[in-house]
Amino acid sequence: MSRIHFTGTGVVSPLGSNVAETFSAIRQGESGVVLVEEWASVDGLGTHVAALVSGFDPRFISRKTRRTMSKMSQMICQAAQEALDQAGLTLEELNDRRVVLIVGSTTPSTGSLEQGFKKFHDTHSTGGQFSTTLFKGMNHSVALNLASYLGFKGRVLSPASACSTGAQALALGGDFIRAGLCDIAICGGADEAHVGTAIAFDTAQAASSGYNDRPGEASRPFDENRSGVVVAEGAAIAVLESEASMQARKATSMGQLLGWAESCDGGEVAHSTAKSMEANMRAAIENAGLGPKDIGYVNAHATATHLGDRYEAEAIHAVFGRVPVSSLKGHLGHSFAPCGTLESIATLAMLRSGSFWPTLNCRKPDPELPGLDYLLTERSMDCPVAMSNSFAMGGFNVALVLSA
Amino acid sequence: MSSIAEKINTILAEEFELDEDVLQPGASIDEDLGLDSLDAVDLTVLLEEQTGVRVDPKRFIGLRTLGDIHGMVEKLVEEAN
Repeated sequence: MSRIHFTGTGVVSPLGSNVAETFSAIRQGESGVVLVEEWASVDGLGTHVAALVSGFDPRFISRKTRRTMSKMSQMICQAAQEALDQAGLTLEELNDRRVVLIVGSTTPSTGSLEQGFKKFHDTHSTGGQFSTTLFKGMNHSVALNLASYLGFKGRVLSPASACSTGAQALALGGDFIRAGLCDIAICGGADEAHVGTAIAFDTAQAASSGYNDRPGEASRPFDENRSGVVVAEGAAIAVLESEASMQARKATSMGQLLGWAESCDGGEVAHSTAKSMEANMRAAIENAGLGPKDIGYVNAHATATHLGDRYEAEAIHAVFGRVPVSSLKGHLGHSFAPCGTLESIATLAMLRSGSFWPTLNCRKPDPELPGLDYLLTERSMDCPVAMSNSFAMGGFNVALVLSA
Repeated sequence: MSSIAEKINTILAEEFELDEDVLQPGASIDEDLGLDSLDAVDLTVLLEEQTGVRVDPKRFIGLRTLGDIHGMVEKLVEEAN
């Protein structure tokens, strides 16, 4: 079975405009969460904080290519450029090699659709509609815009499974390479923050509302005083590549995707149950040809909701017992579509360095959670293999097994 | 230059990021300005928002230069008045 390597990675996050900036900020214990004054003024909205990408300049994209892009597409172009530069892949090469592009978002650009509908409701006419809104408002807007930016002429897929999109893209890329359908898969996701997302999670009683006066402390996975999801935005891209292609190009491996599994709870729509999470993690380990004892660290999905963190902790405990665990959503909030890709890239960085990052704001792990080894400070460990989890609305489960 | 022509040029500079140097009356709409049918629609939206002048995007069909755009919109304004 051909090995699958990561040969390029790119990130745009609330903590940095590339991988190095983002991870440096995480290691310094920074939070990307800020007060959003507009949200604080919304009657009834309990969550006033978000992790936003500020100061992003999209002008590296030509005006004509950029005109059909909202922020999520612009961010994914930057992340893709970073990843391809690192992989040593030119834009011309993408069309000469067997490449598949797999990127998605949770929703199309809600803000762009909102502007169009607002004009319609104000005028009950077609007046004032921009021709470019259509291209920002489709389910595959991120994919079409990235393909346009790259001049990519190959196969493009646009998965959309909200919080598991980025992990699902990697699993699909793994499937494509393992099946011999391509040699390189450019995988990832992007999302942009909008008050509509905050309203949706707030209405579902899943958004953080207890730390509006202390934004940096608002996202606190596994903590006994956790308060819910902090909405975030960003983009992440990883280049997956077969070992043969990587060696032929003399590219450098940043780590391997050893195995993966995807499943659906098929019943619960608000969240997965611990039972289906556990089954999915076991399936991913089996897919990698390993056993639970081979996994030395779990990068949890843990979005800081009461039930989601509990179910995931129970599932992890059932599979691994007392394994080291942390979630990066304390630093970055929940970016939805990109988080699975970003967290996999981060897990690889931890595996390579042998130093594993803690969950920011997890001061005291919830005593009601099972006894996992919750990382409260950065720790050096001899750990060659790790797992990254993602879970999404609809009971979607994705687990990735990664090695340095 | 008429105020309408100035307004069009300002929109093209600010919203379509065109260098003011290329905004000459003889500039070709597609080759020099790089504008296409999508841009024509969005130019009419911005023009209406900023001046109140409503232009059917179909009126751009057959126009070749920036001067043609200026003339077409100026004529519409004259007719409206």
